[in-house]
Amino acid sequence: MGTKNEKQVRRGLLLTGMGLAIEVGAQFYWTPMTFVVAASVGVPLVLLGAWMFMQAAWRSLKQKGAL
Amino acid sequence: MAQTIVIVALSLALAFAAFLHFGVPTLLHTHWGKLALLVGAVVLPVVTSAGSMAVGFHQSSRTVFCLTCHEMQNHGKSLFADNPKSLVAAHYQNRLVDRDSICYSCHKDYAMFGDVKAKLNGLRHVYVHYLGSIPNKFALYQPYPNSNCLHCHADARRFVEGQAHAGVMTKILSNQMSCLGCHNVAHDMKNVEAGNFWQAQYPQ
Repeated sequence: MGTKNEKQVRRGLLLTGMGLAIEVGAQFYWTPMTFVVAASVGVPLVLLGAWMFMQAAWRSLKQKGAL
Repeated sequence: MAQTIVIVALSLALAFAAFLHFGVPTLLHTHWGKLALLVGAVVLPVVTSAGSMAVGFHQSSRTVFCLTCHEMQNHGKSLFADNPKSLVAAHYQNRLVDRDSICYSCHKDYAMFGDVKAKLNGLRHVYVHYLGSIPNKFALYQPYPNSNCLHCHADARRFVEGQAHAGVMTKILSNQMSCLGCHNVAHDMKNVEAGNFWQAQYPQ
């Protein structure tokens, strides 16, 4: 993977980490608000981070002619 | 227990993601590094998030969760109202339903998407709590369906053989006649306001 992919993977991991941190926080104190925040912010951040990683991997594979 | 496992798994996934974040340039050049990135950026976070949401879903069905909003606290007190005719008090005090999830047991529909509908209604509550205006008197979004009562009582002997039910059984089963028509004290707020509560006391 090149520099662009490298940056994207790092950003993806950052978003994933933020999402996981929100979810961990919610686990310690479940209220309607923390549930909503975990479901509507934490989970989408994790999914967005995973999607960014997959996109970078896909692009890298294409660049190498593996696809 | 499940909650502890999820907390540990989420923390490990978070630590692993942080570790990978700083090692990206090196990891991208090795086969195992790429595999570690796949696990740390996709597999672990997605799986642990699913576990986290499962725990959250369970937690959001608990009585204590509903009662975290101060608007619901009098309804919570009605569990202890000293009135055996009050539906909520009778169910709670006689342990007819799991005390830990009594709100959810009676206020969710038992149809296919009953859980989803209950959670969406919960979202409306959250919206009103933070952004809307809280009504003075609470009302259900729709008339209380008999199916919620019948989910447990339909084949219960006391219900089936109850004399009061004999003449109107067809109407009850088809929801033409509401259970609450006769059992008309759901939450006994009068006793709550008067401070009349029941507490288990054993004879000396």
